[in-house]
Amino acid sequence: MADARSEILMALRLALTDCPDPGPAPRPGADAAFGPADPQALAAACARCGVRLLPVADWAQARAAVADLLRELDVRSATFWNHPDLAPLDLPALCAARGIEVIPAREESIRDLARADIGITSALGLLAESGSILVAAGADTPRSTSLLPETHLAVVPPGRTVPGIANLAPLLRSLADVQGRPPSALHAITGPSSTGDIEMVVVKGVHGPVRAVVVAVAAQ
Amino acid sequence: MTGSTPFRAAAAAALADRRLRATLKSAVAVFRGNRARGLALLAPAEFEALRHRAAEVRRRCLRSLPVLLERLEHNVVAAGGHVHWARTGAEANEIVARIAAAEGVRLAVKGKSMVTEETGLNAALAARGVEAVETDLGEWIVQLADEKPSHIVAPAMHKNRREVSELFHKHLGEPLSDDIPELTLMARRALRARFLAADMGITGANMAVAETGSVVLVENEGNIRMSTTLPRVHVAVMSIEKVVATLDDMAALLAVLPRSCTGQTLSSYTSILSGPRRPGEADGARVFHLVLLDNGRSALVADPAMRDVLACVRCGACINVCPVYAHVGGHSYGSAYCGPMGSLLAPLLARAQGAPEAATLAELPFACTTCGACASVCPVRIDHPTLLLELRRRAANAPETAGLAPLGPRAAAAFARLATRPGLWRAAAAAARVLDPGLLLARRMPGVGTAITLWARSRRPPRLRRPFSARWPALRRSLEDSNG
Ligand code: SF4
Repeated sequence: MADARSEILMALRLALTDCPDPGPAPRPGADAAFGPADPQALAAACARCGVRLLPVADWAQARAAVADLLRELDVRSATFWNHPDLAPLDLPALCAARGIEVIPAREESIRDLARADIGITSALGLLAESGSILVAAGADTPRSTSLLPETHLAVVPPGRTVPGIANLAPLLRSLADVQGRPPSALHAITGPSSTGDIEMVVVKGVHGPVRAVVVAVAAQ
Repeated sequence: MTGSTPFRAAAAAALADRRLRATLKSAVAVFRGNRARGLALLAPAEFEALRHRAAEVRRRCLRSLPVLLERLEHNVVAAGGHVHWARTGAEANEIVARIAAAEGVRLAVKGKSMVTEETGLNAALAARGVEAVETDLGEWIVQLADEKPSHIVAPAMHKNRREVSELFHKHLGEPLSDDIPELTLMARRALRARFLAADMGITGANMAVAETGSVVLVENEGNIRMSTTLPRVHVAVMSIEKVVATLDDMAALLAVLPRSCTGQTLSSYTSILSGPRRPGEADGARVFHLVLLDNGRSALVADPAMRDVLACVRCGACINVCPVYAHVGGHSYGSAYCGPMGSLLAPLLARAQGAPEAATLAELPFACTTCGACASVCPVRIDHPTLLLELRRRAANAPETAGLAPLGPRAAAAFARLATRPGLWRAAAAAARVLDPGLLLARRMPGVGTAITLWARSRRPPRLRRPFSARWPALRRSLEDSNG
């Protein structure tokens, strides 16, 4: 008896003798990952999906916005990406000044991130059509930071507007490594975690963060 | 048309259950409202263009399935993952069980997956001493209740807060509550512990991208992200038809899937996973397996008249507008799949699998009013009524299912003629349903009399309090709402 793989492929080939292979897929629409910022579209999309959007003019304002948020949410513990995007915020100093415990994202103790009140990341892009925060997994950008803490805050540098869902394709292609592989994970985070599974009543914060906040730094 | 069948008995019971019918009615109304609000953000022509593109993607990819599956396999392996092929549900379950055994897995957390529902994976794992915990809130509620999902998107749609609270009281020792956020919090606490402790995450896949070897997962709760981020091992089980060629194809489907499902532009989490975690990364599964399941699909591909059914992206839109579903609920269908898509997929797959329930599932296409609401909302433009009529015709012609068919071959042929002339059909059906409850007129309409008479009779499942014709005005109103 043939193995499952060849049997399935053979069955499919026989099944499709009535129609020719359609050949390569068309590449319509988007060929660039990024586009011009559209603050209004982004604001409307964020409002719809429940992302709290805080637009700021520069990095100094971004730092102030982050400090305000830490105060407002009475954050006691935080975890953040060790990533160049976030360097202008000097998060270690910001946390130290407020006596906030910093929980490092280490492989062996990654579950500790569930204790953090807030997880701070940057983002590869902001998807204007849907209000999504786009994050990719990498050595200095763990997945858990945007997943386990109660609040996810993304501080997004200027020039990261991804206009529409169609632009996800060129974005992923632009992220390919030398072997042509996309990142191990790309997440489009479109609001806080939510469910409507009991009587269709929407509840924010089921398994993932209860709150999703974006501080978007405007282009100078 | 006498005698009971599983569908008729379940449907009659559901129809007699007033609470269930009220729950179903309000739930599908919420779905329909959400979808309408989501689509209102686009110009109608814009959404039609997205639908057109999505329909093209699905059909083109179905036509090159073998090539795409090979390319997908190649790229999953290049990304460090493993690929397995399963002809049957039992083979798929065996593959997952063997992975679990090899990895020393005791506890697996599961994301909602229609395919593992189809294969009965949980029971197969339990038999091997692996506990599989559903983590989608609705799916978990259904698992605690030891029931089956009643909707592909909202599995516990048939349960109200009281019933949920009683379950949490019984299984978690939580106090009774009728506060839904509080109940959700109880679930969050209980399942957090399982995510942190699990060795393996099991998910389905909304699609896979041949170009990159990526698996795409769409969800709102975050349980799928948990299941693919924390456990050591991630196994995705996907039926073979779900592969698309390129990232552009993927984007085209993402542009219609959540919009049709919940009205969201994108769901809370769209995850595009390409192999296991890479060196230096602190989280994400270390081992990734993709199980490709046939289970009757290749036979469906070989059926050009029915191949289109495989274009389905499982958005649930057709279910939410179906008047029959709203009245009888998901459990009546006796399959993991329900509503219009289920009435097509369940009998077709069962038949292709040679499953014993094939003969009873062959009845599902007969529980259709051919109102066409499903086809008008389907984001990949599946024409359910035409396909359902073809299945009726086949059932009527097959000796083992002829008894199910309320129509003999001649009447079925009249049906088929009618199906190609929607105007005549509508007129005839309207006459039968509304103007002519006694069917005196319809019987005399040349060429259609028999079909209509038999059809209208068959629309009255036994033991109904009110005949279908009496419920029609309300049904019609709800259809008009959903199409408006
Ligand atoms: S058949 Fe169409 S509308 Fe129904 S679930 Fe599938 S894609 Fe959605």
